[in-house]
Amino acid sequence: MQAGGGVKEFVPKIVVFCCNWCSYAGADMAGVSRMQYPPNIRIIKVMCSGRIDPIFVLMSFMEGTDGVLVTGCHIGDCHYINGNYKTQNRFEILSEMMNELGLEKERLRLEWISATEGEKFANVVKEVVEQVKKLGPSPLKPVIE
Amino acid sequence: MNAAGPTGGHIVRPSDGKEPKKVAWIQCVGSRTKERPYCSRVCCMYATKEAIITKEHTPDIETHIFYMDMRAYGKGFEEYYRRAEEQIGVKYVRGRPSKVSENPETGDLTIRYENLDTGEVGGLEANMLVLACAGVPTDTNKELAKILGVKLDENGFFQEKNLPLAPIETDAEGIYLAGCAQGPKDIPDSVTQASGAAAKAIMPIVEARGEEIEEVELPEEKEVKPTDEPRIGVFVCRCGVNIGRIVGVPAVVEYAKTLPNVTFVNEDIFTCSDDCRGRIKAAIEKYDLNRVVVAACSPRTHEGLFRDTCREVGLNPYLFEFVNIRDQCSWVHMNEPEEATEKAKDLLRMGVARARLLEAEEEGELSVGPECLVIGGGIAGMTAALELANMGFKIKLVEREQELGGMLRNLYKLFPTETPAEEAIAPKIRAAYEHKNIEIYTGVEIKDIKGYIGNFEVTISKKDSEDVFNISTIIVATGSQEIDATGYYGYGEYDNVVTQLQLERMLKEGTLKELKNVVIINCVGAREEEGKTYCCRFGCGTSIKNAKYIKEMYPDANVFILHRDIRTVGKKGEEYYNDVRANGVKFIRFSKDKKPLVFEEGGKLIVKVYDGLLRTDLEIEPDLVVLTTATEGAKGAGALQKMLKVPIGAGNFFHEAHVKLRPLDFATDGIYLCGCAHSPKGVVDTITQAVGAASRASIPMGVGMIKSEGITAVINPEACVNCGICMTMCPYGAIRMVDGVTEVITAVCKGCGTCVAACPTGALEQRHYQNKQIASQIKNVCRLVVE
Amino acid sequence: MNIGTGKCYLAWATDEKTREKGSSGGFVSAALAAALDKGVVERVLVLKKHDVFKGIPTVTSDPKEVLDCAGALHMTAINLAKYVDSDVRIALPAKPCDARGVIERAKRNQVNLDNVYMIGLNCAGTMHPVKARKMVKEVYNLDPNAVLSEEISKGKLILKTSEGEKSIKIDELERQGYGRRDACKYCDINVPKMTDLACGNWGVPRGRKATFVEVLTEKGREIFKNAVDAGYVECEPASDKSIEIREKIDQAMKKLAHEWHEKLFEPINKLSDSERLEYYINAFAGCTGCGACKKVCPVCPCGDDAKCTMTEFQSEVHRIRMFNMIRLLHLMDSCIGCGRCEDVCPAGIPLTMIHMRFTERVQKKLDYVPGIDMKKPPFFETELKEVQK
Repeated sequence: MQAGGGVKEFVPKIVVFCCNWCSYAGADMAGVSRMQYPPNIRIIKVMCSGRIDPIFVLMSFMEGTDGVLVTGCHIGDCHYINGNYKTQNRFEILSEMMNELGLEKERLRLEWISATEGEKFANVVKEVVEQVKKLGPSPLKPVIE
Repeated sequence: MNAAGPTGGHIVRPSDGKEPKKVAWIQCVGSRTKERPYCSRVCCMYATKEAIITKEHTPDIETHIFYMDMRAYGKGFEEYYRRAEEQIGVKYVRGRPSKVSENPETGDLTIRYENLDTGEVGGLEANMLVLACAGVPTDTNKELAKILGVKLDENGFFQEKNLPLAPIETDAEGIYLAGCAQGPKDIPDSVTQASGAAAKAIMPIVEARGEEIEEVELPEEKEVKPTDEPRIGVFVCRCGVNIGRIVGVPAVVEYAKTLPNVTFVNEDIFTCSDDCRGRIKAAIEKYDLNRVVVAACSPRTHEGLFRDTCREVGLNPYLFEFVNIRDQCSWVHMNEPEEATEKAKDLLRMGVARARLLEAEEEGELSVGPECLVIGGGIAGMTAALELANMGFKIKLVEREQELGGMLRNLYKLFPTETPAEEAIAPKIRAAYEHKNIEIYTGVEIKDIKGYIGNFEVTISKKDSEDVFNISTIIVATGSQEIDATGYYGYGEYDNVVTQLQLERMLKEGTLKELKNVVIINCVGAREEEGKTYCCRFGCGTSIKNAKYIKEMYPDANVFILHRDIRTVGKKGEEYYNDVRANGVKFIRFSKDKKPLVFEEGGKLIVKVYDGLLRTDLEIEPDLVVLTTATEGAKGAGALQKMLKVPIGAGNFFHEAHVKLRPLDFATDGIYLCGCAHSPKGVVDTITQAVGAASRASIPMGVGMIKSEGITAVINPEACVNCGICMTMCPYGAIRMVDGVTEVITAVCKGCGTCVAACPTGALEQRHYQNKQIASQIKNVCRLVVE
Repeated sequence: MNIGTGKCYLAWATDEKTREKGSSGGFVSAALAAALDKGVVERVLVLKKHDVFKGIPTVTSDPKEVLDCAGALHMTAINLAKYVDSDVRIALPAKPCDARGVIERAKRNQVNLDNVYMIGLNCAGTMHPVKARKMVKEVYNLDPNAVLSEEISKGKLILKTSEGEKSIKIDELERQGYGRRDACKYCDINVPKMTDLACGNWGVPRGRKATFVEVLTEKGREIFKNAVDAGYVECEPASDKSIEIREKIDQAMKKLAHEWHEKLFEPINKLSDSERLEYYINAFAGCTGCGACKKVCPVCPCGDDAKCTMTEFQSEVHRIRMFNMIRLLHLMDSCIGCGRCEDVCPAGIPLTMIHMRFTERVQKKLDYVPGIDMKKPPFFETELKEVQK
């Protein structure tokens, strides 16, 4: 397999990290409301966005995903008091790391999505997929002969 | 504004669906009137919040709020209001509009108003107008009151038994009040009162607590070691047509068979149905499955069901993994069946990979004994202590002063009912001393508190001796104090400038000399730019009540209240204010930029204030100036905060776990707060909070234990270097260091995993969300690298 | 004399041998020895000279051993922070990067700062021993093993052998690709203001064998006063001129450091994002994952088990090792730029510059400088901060 799929149209794969209480429920809400969005995302659920080790994001890129979307409860709504504060702080550091690395930081996005914001979830996914399609395959994709 | 609402979160006006450029709010519509004299209490902040969200949604929309008094009285409200005005750019206009007219062609509105700060009369053109209508009692209150045999007040809300002293009870035994049934209130106050009502409601049946609980009998769990070869059963659900119509379920089933360690695969129409769950159970037993993966709907609705299914045949529920191929696959990719099928395969592959690494987890239990420490022997502490003691819990009530009673010992009568303060505390002091479940320590300091819920070790000191005891829960009721007013308005310099507390004492002791002119200045050192940025909530009521007393004692005296906003928000507060106003006390508003001046000239004390309404400076020669000062947390609050490791904020007030949803708890289990330790408040709110806090503390003590899910953090001491980042991260105080060694207090851990994310060594792991489990999912998203 | 915090002094060892042996009046050795002698501290951590290219970190409770270690070692590159065992009261001579390492370790609970007395040393840089040996051979035309002692004076590196001495300007050495380690060239923290006493020869009048000492903390005052009271040290207040000269030299060194920074970073600065990514991929391609960089890193608190070492997998197909990525990540907020990682890297990866490039972005964005005070590192932050976009 060739990085980026050769002549075939580029079909990005995007990891979405969701917290159990808000954004995963937001994604469910998008489903219940039958909001259509592109099938490029793969959701990984954790209890709190504060569990999302920046290493998971780096690992996702190293393993060949083209974009990562980190989601959590809105600021002030965290089920665990302030887990998303820590997510935000780590994200700031991580996005600087991507900047320096030269990996387009548009491949990484942080969004707060509540349990009722199914439409927002769908819209954010649409935007991210659109954005990553524009950027093309991730330059960090493993090289496999 | 609501993204789930009819306009999808867009603000459009009803007439033509266009987005407005200018939105106005009018406050107090139908309230604070002759007909409905009360304040609806929530609208000032509602309007402010709406204006902020409007501006955040579309920054160039102009927002104008017409108001009478800005009632930002609650915790954090004043700061929120300031942010709206100064940073977001919400425009506030003091004044009640006189007329609103519509331009029939454009649908735009003209609002005629007088600005009470500047005296200007103007007309504001707006595209949309939002009315903050009075909160009114529910239509059915009358009928319900009749059925219940309880009274309604003159406004149609339910009547409490006694306003400052029994705000939750009704006249009828066994019937209690919570939330807006009693009168308009916001979420924190409603949640607080509801907690209190729950405590009251259990009292008549407290003896029966814990009886008639049936335990479900389950077979013994079979042992599954991490080293055992995984034997995975995969159950793919068609959910009728919900999944099956889009996702090629047979293809997914075939794919599942190719995945490593998958021993058994099944397809069903409704996996959640009774007979299907029966088949899962049979398969677990027949094929000796040690992992189960269900690819169906959402774990949020069905995970519990399938976990139980596994457990019913002896499989640990944490060996179950859910893959969502409906809500997040078939329902959202309805026009792309091929892609949806591929995605379902990916999701299943990720789920199976994770399932391989799942481990059996135990749920934790920690016993919580029936003993509670109440810190602070004021009205809040005594109320909480009595409430719990009446439920049968053992209380240690600790007070640093020599006597119980707290702040109320200094006060004369209480706003707005004029109940003597003595009447509020004396019965409670007596009851506390007489109660067999309450042990009282006065004149003592808390030296140290160690431990956690169920296991607190408390050291107190009295003169030369120390005492150590164990306790299960703690209620913080340490109260507040007046700030030192030195430097404000000549306090400390001129003898006839006193604080409200000094005035209360004079009133109580009857030492107030004859007076001709009295000036009361409110918001002294409060609502400042920095430091004491908050409102003290009870200051307006106190000043009005004391003005009334002075006026009653010396009817010829001129009594002036210089204020910024009048915030009489509690029940009966507004009515009291109106009476006092009608009886000749003069109210003069000043702005934060033009504060009054107090100085001496020719041996005479002079107060100079700019009256915005008259647009002129006034000079008063008072023989007494009374300062309504800001309050701050009690002086021991800082030390206590360090012992309890709970958050504290501006003005030395403690921070609750969640402003709205958990106003009486700390984030740390087993520690609760009430009264002025939380934020400044009057007696009604304090008593309500105290009963509420007792209610909260009674839950783990009543159940006798707390449970933790099998998702808590665990530490590998071999790898841990005790760097302490996990302790910093944990909002629950669930990680501690004992003799330099880091430990997780499992019973206190809530399983958020933020410590695990922060740990540099990987010594910390979150059960069921282990690093390697999440990594396996990540690696299987693309699966470019085959292991 | 009444010694006060915030004040500057000229001080020297009373013992002539120590004064001669020390690089500028022997104050540091004398004060450390006095601290041990009088029980102000229980241990002293010093760099014991093996030869001019090698110092061995040594913890001692013998004042004599401390005095034997007098004199600087410019051609060694050790960071002492990882050797500080603060279970007992311990003092050490600390270059700015030693001190910053100690402070970062204190933030991570590896050091109890209350027990640590840091006598700071002004530092203009050190040399890598392997490169230094080569330099001695190639530029000085000397047998490295024949070098008995070294000294830096007036911008020159003076080497002494039994045959006599030879000196070459450091500028010249650096022009030829030798001289100080890259990390030192662009380090702009030369005066260790984060320690208890800042010592050095900047500001010492010509011809005087004395140390310029700034008393920075109460602990520093205690060490200083003890040395004076015990008769190990004599002192006088530093003149305004001395203070001014020290400041001028510091400023000049800072300026030079900034020029080096620009010069050394320039080639990477010029690259586009995708070129930079390729640069990093290639730079790390030689990494064998041996973990030496992590082992010597004074900021890293981890033992052998760490996320960076445990998350390694399938590296042949991945474009960069997770080990490298996680090291970069974990140092994003707190790298002090000491350069130890690069010193020990067998693959010759320019790790100092790479780490600095990453960390400088975060430190700038979050207004955080590691190792100068006890301010929480950004990864420890639990509150939201307004971030400069």
